[in-house]
Amino acid sequence: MKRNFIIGLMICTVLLILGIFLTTNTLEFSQDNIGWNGSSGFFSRLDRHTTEMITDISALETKENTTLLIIAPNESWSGEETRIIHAFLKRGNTVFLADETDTGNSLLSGLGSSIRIGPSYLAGIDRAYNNSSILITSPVQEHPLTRGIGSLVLDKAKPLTGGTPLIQTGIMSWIDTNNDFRISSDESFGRYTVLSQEQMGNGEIIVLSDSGVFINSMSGIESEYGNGQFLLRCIQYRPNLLIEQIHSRTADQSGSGWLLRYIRLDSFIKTMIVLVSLLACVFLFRKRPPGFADIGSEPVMM
Amino acid sequence: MNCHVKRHLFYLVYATLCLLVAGLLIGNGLQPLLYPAEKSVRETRYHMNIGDLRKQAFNSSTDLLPLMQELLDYSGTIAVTLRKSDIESASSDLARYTSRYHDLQNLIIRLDMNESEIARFSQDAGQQKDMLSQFVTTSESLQSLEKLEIQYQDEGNPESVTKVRLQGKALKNRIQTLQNQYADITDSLSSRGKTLGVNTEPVMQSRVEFDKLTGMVAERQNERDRYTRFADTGSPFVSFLAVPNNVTFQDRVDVYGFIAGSQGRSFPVVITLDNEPFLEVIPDEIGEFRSTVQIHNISAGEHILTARWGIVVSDPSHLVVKPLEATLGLQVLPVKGLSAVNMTGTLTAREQAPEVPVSILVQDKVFDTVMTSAAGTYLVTVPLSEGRYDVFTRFDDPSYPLLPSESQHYIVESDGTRITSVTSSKAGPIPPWILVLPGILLFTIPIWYLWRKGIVQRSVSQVEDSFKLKDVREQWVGESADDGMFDSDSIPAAEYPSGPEELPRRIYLEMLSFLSSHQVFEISPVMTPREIARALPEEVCKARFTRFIGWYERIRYGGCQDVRCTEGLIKAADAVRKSCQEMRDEA
Repeated sequence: MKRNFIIGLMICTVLLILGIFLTTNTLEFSQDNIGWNGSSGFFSRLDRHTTEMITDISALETKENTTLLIIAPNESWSGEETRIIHAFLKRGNTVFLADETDTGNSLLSGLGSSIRIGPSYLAGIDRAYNNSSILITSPVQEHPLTRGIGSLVLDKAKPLTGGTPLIQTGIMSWIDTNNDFRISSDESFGRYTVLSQEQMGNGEIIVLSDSGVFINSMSGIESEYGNGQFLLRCIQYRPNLLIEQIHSRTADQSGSGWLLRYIRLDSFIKTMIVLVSLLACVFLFRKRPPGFADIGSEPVMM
Repeated sequence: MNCHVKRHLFYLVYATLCLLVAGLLIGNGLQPLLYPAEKSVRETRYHMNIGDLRKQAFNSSTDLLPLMQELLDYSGTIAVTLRKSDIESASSDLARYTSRYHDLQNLIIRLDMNESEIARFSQDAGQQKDMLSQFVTTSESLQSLEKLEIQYQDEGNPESVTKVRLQGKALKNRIQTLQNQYADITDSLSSRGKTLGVNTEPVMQSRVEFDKLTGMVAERQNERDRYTRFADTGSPFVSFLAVPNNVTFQDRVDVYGFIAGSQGRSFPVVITLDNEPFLEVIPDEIGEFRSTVQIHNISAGEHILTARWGIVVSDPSHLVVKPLEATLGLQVLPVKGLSAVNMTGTLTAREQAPEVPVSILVQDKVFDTVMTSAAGTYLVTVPLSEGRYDVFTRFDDPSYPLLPSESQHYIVESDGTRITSVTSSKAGPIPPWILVLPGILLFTIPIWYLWRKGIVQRSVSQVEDSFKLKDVREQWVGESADDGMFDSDSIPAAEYPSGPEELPRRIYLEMLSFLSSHQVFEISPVMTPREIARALPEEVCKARFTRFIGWYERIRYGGCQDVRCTEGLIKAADAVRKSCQEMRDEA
């Protein structure tokens, strides 16, 4: 009995380790990445009753009173996709884009927004840690998204132009054009916008120039900074939250990840697995009659 | 399947799983960067690991170096861009910063206004003076700033910035202060550590290291002073240094030098590449010039860099540019509702390659040439009329230090109104076995189990087994009838159908009938076989009957349809009959 228990425990341990390996990865921003640069922590905070993962852009066509969260897109949108997002905005919804690349700019120009993401990273003396690209920024205008937030730490943010600034860096910040993390002779101190908002029809577009706030290492940041609160505000900004999974790096997966995510998303497959598991349990724990070896030729004493 | 085979199969599968897990763990163990976390920071293109940064503290000379370097580089000026409307918040910011870096001696305030605004600024003395005086006097920390510099734009030439500058010197003092502070902390740490009996050698070593660094800083400052003096007089001269010399695409080359002497009027320093002007640098007030050149559209091979200042030219510096391997990715996506495709991808050469021309080819002919974005990506919409097209992209521009690269090919079919098919030349992203294997695991195992249980149709071989069973039954019925223990006529045929499946049940009932008549005890219809076994008065007979019901349960409830089970049951029944008969005869 004891031996069976130990064997069972070992098998469970092996399967658990195997499960962890098969269900996680190390891809940047991936929601299956539990390392420092993954976004598994953010995704685990989402309320499954109000959050929906969008794998087909046409799903936006019927949504109302909703935020579409786009984190770190890695490829541009087609004309049709942009048209659907634009219509989604015009119906009074919100698009929240967290990105520091040109891909974000292509969406912004496609939507007719005046907000643009700058080409170089920001650096500053007002830093959270021993690196000038870890900036402490602070709200400059009242907005539901920044209410009650004293400061927000960003990890390699870029300057934004256009729109209404909601969060800006301190005045001793500069655009680090030569990427040396230090102020150089052709770089000037100044305030730079990192969170900007623009009204588009009945809806609004909000742009954060650093997608790094969603990664796991930022979730462990000191509570004196309002990063945790900010993420909560993003999640609860509208009654419904849609997370774009078509172009976002958070949807990146490797190896067996795609299969496991497919299983998670498909109700039929999930049902089949539960069914097969139950059958396996029935098979393993069925009351078995004695085998040939158990019933010998000699009489069995009771 | 034999029990031993099953056990060995189980051990084999388990050992394979264990080896797989061990391999994965070892593989993962090799992945983490093996360095002390407090010294290095993991970094990707998009962010740095805050967790690593959090572990760092300002407790060694190396950690202080960035701060020293910032101060060193900004011994000259620190520029602050202020908006007129933002003076209040700028003032509080400055108060905060100057309390932290209270030794900042120089500050440039670049007012965001042009010449006429400056004029209005001075005319409107009341309001503007108030603004400025308010700005200066409301913050105590600002009073510690010795110098102010005001820059303004020339209305006639918006590109230039006119400066009114007042200089100050504080760097050496600052460095000296830092050195003294560090020495004090180190001594304190060392003496406290010695009292506690810990090894203070690393602490003392860090002080030596720090002293060395501050020595280097002071040396550099002296060098600047020397050149400042030298710059005023003498014949014109330009020194030039470019490092590193062996570079490839996207590498940065630091160009650095000094000018000395006088040429009558000021000239910029022109950096030339193979005698062609490449970059203009303005020397600073002490004649030092410094810039960075990124290797981009420079062909692979050997080049010569020189610095030209007016009529003087520096010694040449040789630059060897090596070609880098490039990878061109491509994705072809149909545009919904149109007979066109979006061709997008990334050119990667160690990292994403920006501003590089990529040719778009349709049917091996260049359709268009586009430049990659800052992120190294490109996107082109290609309209296609009805037909089948081979589309791909290619990079083969020799003016860049990159080896030619070609993307994978896509076959695109269009019916003239929309794209009907896009096929990659490579295998699909999902290998077929990944679909087949889970399919087997998910569906064949339950089917196999159900098949074994007889829920689904059995195979021909099992029908053959049924014939064997029938033979056994006939043998059993015949033997029993011969022994006079079983009267096949006593049981109506309708009650016990003659199918081979009914044989065990029939044998069991016959056994009950036998026990009932030979053991002289009443068998109730509600008694289970185990209860009957317990009720048997004779031990040997009881043991044999227990073995019999073991076989019976295996067939009846365990679903065993193997002919060996029936044979075992018959043999067990024989053994019961014999032992019970013998016991009764002896009695």
